[in-house]
Amino acid sequence: MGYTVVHSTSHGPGEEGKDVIGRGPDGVPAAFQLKQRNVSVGDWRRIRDENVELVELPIRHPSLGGPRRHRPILVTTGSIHENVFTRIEGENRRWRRVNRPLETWTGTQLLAMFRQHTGAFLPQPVPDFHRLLGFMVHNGHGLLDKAEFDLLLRSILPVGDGAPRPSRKAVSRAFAAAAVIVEYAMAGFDRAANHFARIEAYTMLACYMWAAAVRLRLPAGTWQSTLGITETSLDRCSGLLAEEAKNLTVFGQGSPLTDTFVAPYRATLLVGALSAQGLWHLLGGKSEWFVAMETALGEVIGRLAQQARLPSEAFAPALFLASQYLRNSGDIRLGDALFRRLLAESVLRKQRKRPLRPLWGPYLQVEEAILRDLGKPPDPHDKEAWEEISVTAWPLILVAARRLMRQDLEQLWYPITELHFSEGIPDKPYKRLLWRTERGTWQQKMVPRPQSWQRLGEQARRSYPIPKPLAESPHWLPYYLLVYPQRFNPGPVLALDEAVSAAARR
Amino acid sequence: MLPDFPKVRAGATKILEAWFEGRRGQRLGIMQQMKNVVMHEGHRTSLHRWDGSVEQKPMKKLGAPIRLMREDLEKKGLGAVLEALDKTAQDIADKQGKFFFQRLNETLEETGQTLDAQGQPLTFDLVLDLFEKMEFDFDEHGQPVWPTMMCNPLMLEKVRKWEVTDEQKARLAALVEKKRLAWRDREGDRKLVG
Repeated sequence: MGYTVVHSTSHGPGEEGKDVIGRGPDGVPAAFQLKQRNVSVGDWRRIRDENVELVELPIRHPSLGGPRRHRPILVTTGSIHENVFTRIEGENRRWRRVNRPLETWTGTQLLAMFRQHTGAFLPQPVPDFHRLLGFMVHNGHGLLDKAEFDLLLRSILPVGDGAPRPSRKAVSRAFAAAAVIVEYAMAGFDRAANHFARIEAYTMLACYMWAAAVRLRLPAGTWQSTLGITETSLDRCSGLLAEEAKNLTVFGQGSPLTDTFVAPYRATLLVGALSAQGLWHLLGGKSEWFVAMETALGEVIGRLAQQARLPSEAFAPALFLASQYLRNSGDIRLGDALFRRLLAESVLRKQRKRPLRPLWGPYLQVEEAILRDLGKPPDPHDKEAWEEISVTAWPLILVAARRLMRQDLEQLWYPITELHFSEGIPDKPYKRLLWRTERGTWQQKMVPRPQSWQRLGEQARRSYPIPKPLAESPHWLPYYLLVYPQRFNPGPVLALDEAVSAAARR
Repeated sequence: MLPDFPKVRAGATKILEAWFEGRRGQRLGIMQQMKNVVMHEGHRTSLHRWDGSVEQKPMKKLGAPIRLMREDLEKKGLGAVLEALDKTAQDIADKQGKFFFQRLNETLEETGQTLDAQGQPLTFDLVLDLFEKMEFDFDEHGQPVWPTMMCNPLMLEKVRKWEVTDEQKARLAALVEKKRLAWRDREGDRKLVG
């Protein structure tokens, strides 16, 4: 469409009604207000004041020079009711005297514009435009909606059971298209400089490409170049995140009133992402920036890890990665302490015993888990499992057994015997690379009574199922575990532990 | 399109869902007290118990339609909606109950925990025979955690009228002691060895 973005509001409501500021193809400054819904007359009443500001207050940004008449544009993925158009027309008669009139871009116009401007270079049409647009105009705050992103990726890549088996050429095109479409989808997160969400998106993209490649038995040549681009993008996002983390003060983001609530959880995810990058580098992943920042990052991870909190098992991989990274970057004491804490919380917080808070399962939405950790009671008919059911405890027990931490395990063994260790085992191995799988076995295991230490050691040393691409590219394992906490299963966890130990020995 | 209120509809749906769950729970009776959790993935289950036994079962889809007649809706309004939901709650609870006992029977048969009374009426001694086959847990005060018995109301009346003899009381006390020792052994096994 030819617009160049010069600024986007990254936190809180739009500044003076302007979510994004840019310059049009004709050089005229433009300000956009973004909405993700149909705009009814009632909605218009609510957002009118923001639109008055959008139109009447001039853009103030050094890149655009002094005050000039700008083009105000209200963008929505939905539709605008005809009576709202009448009202906007009425307002525009007045606004023409102070600035340019308010323009509107609705969902259907956006689709047409998107098709017109991307059709020439997109390797294939986008099958799920509406979902893509939803991501594009997203304000970019918060975490990636992985269930929604899963649907977007499934619409591009042939990974589902019923998906047709396209030709090799068509799949190569789909891989290239997926990389481009993901970049479009991440536009909102990019504007908000939400690097963590982008890291999640690139990890899912890589996994879905691999899933398609394994399902269709494609040679590496069909996906390697796209994967290379994805790796570069992920590394850059990780670098930007590290830069921000390095300068982060305790309550350094958003409103200080509410930041005290979210800071410990943010610290957990942050140490997870930074540690993932450290392990990525250790395991042979390419990074343009890591070596230069390694020392500073070690300090940041060590500091933030002590503030970390564990509302649900979805946060367990982050702490596990941090413990792995710290152990192998020289801070063995802190790394081990973090691992012991994680192991103990994963077991003890599965019992209904006050004053322990429940450790919710990895399938519960992250923000809901945080709210519950802060005291919000679950809905009366909520059936989310937590008590005596754990996905992440068994792999941690195996790691502890591998490290000969018998004393620690003995202290925890009685509550361990009460746990049902759960794992979703898909009917086909490649489906472990997908966000969810309908076909497969929900397995629950209990430990024998008594448990032989020797037998436990044997179990800790044997190999477990892991998707082939991850076995071949172990540097992806840290990000895989971070982004897919429900796949924190013995296979990838022990493979990572093994790979890290081997790399450290080298 | 005529004026509509999506947020009100969403709120109303939540209220109806809660009401429906309440009604279904009432119909489930004692089964409502059982732990009920969501399994987010898979179409079958596999349970590996601590004693090494493994139970594999497919999942089963249980559902019931909601039948809401237009004329009922016009006549009774919300009353018709609640009646229809109530009927569906009953249908689902019936199916769940039937399915539960079917699965329970399969599991008990497989693990040899059934007792064929061969047509005899239920007596206190028969219940003790059944208890012999079961494992008992004990609470923190050393008291047995008694199993829940399910029977029809007529049988319940008879059970209430049982007169327990001193001999039967002594048999029960001996059984509790035996179960306590077995429980202590089991508890002692909950450790790492070797």
